[in-house]
Amino acid sequence: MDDIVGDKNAKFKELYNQDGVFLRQAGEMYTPMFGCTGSLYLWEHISDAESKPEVPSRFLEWRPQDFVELKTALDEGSEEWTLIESVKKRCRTSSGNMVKDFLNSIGNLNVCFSNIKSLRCSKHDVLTTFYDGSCELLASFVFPTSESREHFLGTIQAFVRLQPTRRDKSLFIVYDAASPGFKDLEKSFAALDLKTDSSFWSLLKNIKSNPYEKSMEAFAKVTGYVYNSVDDEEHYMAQDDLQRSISEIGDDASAYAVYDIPNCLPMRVDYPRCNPLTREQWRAQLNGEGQLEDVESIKTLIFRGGISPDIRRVVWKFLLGYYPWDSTEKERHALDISKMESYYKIKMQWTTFSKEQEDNFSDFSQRKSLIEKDVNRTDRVLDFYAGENNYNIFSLNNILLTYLLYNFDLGYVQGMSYLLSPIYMLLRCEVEAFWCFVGFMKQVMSNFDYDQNAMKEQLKSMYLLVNFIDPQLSKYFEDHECANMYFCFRWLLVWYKRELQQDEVARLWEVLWTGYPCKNFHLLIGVAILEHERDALMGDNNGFTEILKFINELTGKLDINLMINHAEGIYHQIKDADHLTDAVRNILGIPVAEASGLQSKPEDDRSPRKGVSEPDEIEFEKSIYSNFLSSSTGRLVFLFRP
Amino acid sequence: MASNKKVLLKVIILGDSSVGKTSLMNQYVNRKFSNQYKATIGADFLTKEVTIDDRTVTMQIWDTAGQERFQSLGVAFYRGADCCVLVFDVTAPNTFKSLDSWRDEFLIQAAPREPDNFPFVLLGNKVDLEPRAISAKRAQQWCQSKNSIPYFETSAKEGLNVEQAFLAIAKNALAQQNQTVDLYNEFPDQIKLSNAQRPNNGADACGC
Ligand SMILES: Nc1nc2c(ncn2[C@@H]2O[C@H](COP(=O)(O)OP(=O)(O)O)[C@@H](O)[C@H]2O)c(=O)[nH]1
Ligand SMILES: [Mg+2]
Repeated sequence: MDDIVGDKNAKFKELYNQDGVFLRQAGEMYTPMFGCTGSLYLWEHISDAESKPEVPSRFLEWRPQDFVELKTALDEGSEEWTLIESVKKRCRTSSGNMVKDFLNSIGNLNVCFSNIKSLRCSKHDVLTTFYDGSCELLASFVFPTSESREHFLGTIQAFVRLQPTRRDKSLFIVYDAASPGFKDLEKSFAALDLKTDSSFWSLLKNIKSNPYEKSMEAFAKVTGYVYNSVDDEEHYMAQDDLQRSISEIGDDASAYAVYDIPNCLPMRVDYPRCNPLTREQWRAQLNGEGQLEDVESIKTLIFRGGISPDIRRVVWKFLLGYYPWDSTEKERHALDISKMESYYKIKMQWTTFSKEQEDNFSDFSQRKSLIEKDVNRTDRVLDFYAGENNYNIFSLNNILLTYLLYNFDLGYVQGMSYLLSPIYMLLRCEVEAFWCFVGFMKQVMSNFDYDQNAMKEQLKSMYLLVNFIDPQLSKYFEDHECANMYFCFRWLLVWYKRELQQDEVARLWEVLWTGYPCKNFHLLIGVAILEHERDALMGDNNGFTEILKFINELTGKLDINLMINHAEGIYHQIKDADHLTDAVRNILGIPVAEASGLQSKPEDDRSPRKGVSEPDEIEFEKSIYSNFLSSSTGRLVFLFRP
Repeated sequence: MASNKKVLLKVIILGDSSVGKTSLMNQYVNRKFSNQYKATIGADFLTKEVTIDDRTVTMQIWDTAGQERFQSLGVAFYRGADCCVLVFDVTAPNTFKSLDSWRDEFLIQAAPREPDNFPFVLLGNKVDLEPRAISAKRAQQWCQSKNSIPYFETSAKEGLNVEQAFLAIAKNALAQQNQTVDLYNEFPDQIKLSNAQRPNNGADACGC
């Protein structure tokens, strides 16, 4: 590859040139240059009568800027370097067709463009990585600005098409005119009504904003990947299209194989958040009796957007079981009265204790003092709970003491005051807050059990989910003594209460209280956060200590709406995954029938989709695959054979 | 002679809920006391650089939730500790009674190599408050019975004795670490060439 431009007379036109491009990684022999900045060029061969056919039509070149640095590295005498030093001088024509004599091109990195079969780039950073047909890394660059990278992507769009893989949105298959399927791709782009010269990301955005109609069509048809959903007609059509296009490609089809790679997740689909449930929407659902007509649709609205603050007071009482969902206005009125009565009955039990009685009841008095100490350090920074002799703190104390007698077996456990605080702050009524707290506690009671088994179980589930969604991250935890996931303890014990502002807590909890879209959705919120922070978590060779600190310091920095959004995307990925395991299914309570696979497959069934390839080739592909998976988070769906 | 090796001392603070563990740690590290600290859930730690006999060491002070049931998760935090600080509230007798079980639990979970010689330090906190339930004498007796544990009476609120207590904690931790680490430290630091020391050959080698 070093000497790909052996022909001195070949003439090249500069298509792209950018200084300040940082080489992050490339083939092993370039190791001494990793971390150097340089100039990145894209050259195009100007063909004329004399040019030899083996001269590549386009190639990338990266030249280190700091030649001195490189020389020093060379003088240290690494053996591999003699190889590079032997690279001959080259002649090229730059854009003006002027022959320029190049210096000894030691260390210049060249990548023949036609070898690039996929590239990885994400909108969030300027790192761009190129891979060849066997998923080996060719080069990985960091562009100086997002504009310069955008320009680069724009430039190459003139002669290739980039198609995001269905399973990993930051990995793109590079199609050039010679690739089978290129024509289909063109057609499909036309069908999407996109201008081919539009900016790269806007192109993607367009696909993303119509997840159902467009992306499925585009991805399934274009990349030939077939969804195996039973109930979706469109996917059957896509399958037909694929077969047709393969037969059209004819002989070339052998060079282009479509695989169902085991343990790949379906592509993440964005489920945009909606506006909160409004008073009007709520009222519209109440019939003459004041009964809710369509509970499921109300819950769906709450799940999708939360509740508008002006009707939270009412709706939370339904979510927390204070009112049954199907109750009438009249029944609710009766409930208000009976709940008040029973609250004061329980409360009376402890308010009437004499000092002597309390002294002889140490189980009670110890817990009482613990409650008092805890309410005195619960949300004191909020105006509502601030200051000496705050009446609201007094109410928290009353409610927790009453709960202590209501459920003496459980007792009072640290963390409970944090679950009560947002509820009382909204309802501002001891009776209502108490019964709503009882409703919430029913859902999370086991978190506070003496043996802590439920917490341990959840931490374990969290690990399994991370492992399913991001095996590289779970492997990292495993290798760094973090597989116990203890750093998520606070998240799970009090449902992220300590990480968020009070209004964010309200939003998250009301979404979680709907019980949609699955059991234990709160775990997926955590998975979304970990995934969102994965690079920081795995940076700097962090161990348990660093990770715990990092997680604890996320307080106040989370975008909870975004995390809910990601968590929902993750849920659908898991649900639709072909390799969904029973363990994961159980955590989220996904019934077997709901899984999208034609039938659930045994876990080690790694056979490819029908009519694709011979078994020995499968082994070969698998081995390449595992390389790819271990070197990056990539979940490539296609393999190109030279 | 001061060594330039980085020393990290891991210290665990244990004691019943609301004896003032979080307040003591914050008073020592940030010289602040606040009535608004939140109850500790899970675990957290703060670090502070201290100079002991010309050596700068980093103390990593671990604070955990005080309620008993959360201790089963402690294993993850106790491991590798160099010193354990036990705290009770001088106005709350129950917190003094729990000391034995805190100590035993720590020794079981952290499983130090020589449990009998593992350094503990006892702090009787909230001495600014009245009425006192546990006298200094009683606390000292307990310390004597446990292989002469050093004892300090502190107030996280007033900042009383906190600095002195943590200095003693650091010294004990360092002594503990030296005992266990000395064996491995007999080799000099590797000599490393920094970039600046590299031979500079011809800045004009670039011929462009
Ligand atoms: N008067 C007084 N109060 C203290 C002292 N140390 C802590 N407190 C208070 O005791 C309560 C519990 O303190 P905290 O540090 O959270 O205890 P932890 O549960 O052991 O971490 C808080 O209300 C503190 O303000 C002290 O030295 N004197
Ligand atoms: Mg604390």
